[in-house]
Amino acid sequence: MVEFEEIFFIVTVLTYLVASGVYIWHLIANSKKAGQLGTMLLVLGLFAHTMALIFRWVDSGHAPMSNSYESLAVFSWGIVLFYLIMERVYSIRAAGAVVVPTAFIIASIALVLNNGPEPLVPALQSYWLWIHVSIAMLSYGFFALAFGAGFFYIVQEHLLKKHYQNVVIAFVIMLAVIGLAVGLWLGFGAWAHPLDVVNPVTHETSKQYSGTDILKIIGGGAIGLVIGIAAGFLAGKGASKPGFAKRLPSLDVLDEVSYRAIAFGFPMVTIGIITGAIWADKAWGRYWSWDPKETWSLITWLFYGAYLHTRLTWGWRGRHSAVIAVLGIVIVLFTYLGVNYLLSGLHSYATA
Amino acid sequence: MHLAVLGINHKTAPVELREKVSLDEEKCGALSRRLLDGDGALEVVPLSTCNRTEVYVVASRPEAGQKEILAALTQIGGIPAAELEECSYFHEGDRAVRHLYRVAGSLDSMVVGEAQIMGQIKDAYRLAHKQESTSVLLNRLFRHALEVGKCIRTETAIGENPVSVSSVAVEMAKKVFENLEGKVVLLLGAGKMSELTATHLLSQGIATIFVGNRTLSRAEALADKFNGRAIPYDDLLDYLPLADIVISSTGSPHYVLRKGEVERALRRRHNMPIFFIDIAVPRDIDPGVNDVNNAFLFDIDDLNEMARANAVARKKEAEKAERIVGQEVENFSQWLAGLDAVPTITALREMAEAVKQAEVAKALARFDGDLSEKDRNRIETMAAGIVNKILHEPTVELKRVANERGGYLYVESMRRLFKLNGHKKTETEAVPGRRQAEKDEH
Repeated sequence: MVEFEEIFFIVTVLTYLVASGVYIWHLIANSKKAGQLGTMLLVLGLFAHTMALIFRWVDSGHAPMSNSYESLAVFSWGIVLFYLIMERVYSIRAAGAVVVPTAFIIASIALVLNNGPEPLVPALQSYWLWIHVSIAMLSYGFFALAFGAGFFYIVQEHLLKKHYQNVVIAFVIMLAVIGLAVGLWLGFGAWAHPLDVVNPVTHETSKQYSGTDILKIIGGGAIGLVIGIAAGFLAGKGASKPGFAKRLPSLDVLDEVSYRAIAFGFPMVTIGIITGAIWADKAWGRYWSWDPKETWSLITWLFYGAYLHTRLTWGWRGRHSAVIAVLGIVIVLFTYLGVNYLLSGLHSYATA
Repeated sequence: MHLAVLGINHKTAPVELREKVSLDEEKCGALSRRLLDGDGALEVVPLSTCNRTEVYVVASRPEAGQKEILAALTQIGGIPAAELEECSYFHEGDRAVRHLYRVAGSLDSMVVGEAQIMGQIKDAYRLAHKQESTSVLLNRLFRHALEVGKCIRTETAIGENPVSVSSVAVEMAKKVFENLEGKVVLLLGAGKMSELTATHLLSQGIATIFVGNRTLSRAEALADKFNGRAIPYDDLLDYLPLADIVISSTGSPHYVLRKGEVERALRRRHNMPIFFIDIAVPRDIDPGVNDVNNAFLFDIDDLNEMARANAVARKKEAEKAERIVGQEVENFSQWLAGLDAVPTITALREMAEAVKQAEVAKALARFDGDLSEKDRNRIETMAAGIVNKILHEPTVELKRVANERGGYLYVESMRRLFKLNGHKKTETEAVPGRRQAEKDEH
């Protein structure tokens, strides 16, 4: 059973990798066939992904939401499913060039972190696991969508302001930053293996990074940077060609999608925090103990609250709102993953 | 049988001449009747648009249709035959097929890549079909041409990038606002280009046009034309916050709209974007407006440059389309060659000969050498006689009808009934989309 799950998951990750390339090619070269091929591959990948999750569920006997591997696997599954539905409804294949690689990266991190099924930590043995985690995931999905739309808003707005001329530099800078961030994150989360060091006096554990770990992190960043610059150059060249404008949705639609996604995601994350607090009370006897996860959830909540506030009361829209939606995903990712690795707290079983 | 086309188009004839030989439904019918009743033409499809008048015919002899078509068109147009002949082109065989495919792919259009020609061809073919002036060959040719046209539109980006300034402006506006329905346009000044752009926008369903001009009477005249409203020029800034799209082409020597004014207007409309098109030279709108958040400014140079780049891209796509045309012409002529009577008869004879020889050999083997040379000859003669007698009538008949209207039907039946396609590409392969054509027929 475990082998089946692994095989399916490896197939999933490989399919997503190929699909990412095909989607990017579709966007740059405006090839309809590539677009259709990408969708086909993605559906295939989603099937394998679903099978992997089913095997995992059957094998472990609980919903696959208990550790990093499982939650990342479910998260990327949700992204792909949601994207395929959106593609069907709105025919926005261009967005696939960002969404599909994102799903690939998340799924491949999950693959690296996979330790096989484990029994549930006692703290997680509650039906609140279901409610809290799935609602939190759903809100993250909405925020990821808002990020995608906001990102494309910034790209399209820049192109329009520049009249679709001389846009290569902007693309290079943009993708270089993204590449650097993803590279560092990969180096940090997947390649480096810091040692847990226990302080003999305070009995607090901290992580110690060796020289090779630091090299791995820097190397990851450098590789990401180079790939980002190259991709930015190609994308910029592609975007300068006539017809690119057609493939990106209009500002109106992008602004609307970003806003709607946050308007749905915000109440969701609110409920996620409340259910988390109730669960915390049952598991640890306190509703709120300011552990890093809780603090960062609150920061996320405030940030998206600010998005809605500036929009509804100050009349912000367009680029300003899009920038908030894009920065928001960084906070979400930190809350979701960074906290587990960088800070220790009650939620730290998630690193297992 | 010979496929041919005779016609004039926007490249060969001035509009005055094209107008005269332009064919309406009635004239198309009359022309077809005349050609079919006369000597030579077996099938006719006239195609008449504002840029071309063409007559596709299938004739029994080479160049048979040319004189008759010229005569018919001369009569309809009331123009000297020599004048028409000078402006017309005449293509036969593969070149006629290629011509129609290029027309269908809008490679022969005034604006390469325009979309209307497909509909016009479809209408022309339907009319001819209704008037019963088409048969096997032109049916297949026109259906295939429509498929080729569709294929070019879907496989290449030939129709995707607008090549005129006003359509580029509309395209860009649609990248800001998904939908132009219900939008408000403010038109400042008057000029041919701005009127054209406004007309283009109107066709996209915009709600209102406000027209501002130094002389109010001019503004009113223009407003009447677009079913809009003239506004006092001095109140311009009061109307600015209402406008989603501003088109400016005044003769003013300095800026009509400045950055600060646009910023104020945007605040008043809660940052809903405004799309500015500045067609004036010298410019009417402060270029700094483009730096204002939610304001998008395109001046005449920007639009011209984009239109030019699009035209270059379109040319590249046209090359792709030409390749598709070349391939499809090849396919069609292969199918056509398969429908020629002579090779069909040869194939039939070869098949019969092979059967005969096999059967004779089988029969002789049974006699086991008991037969004399003379007996063997008798048997062979008898077998040959049977084959020849049976094949005689179909052969003669096929040769006769092959040059008649619809004769291809017999050749095709013969090929199908006797399975004569074995060594060749079957016609289903030769003409893609044939199955579609058959479906339409049923």
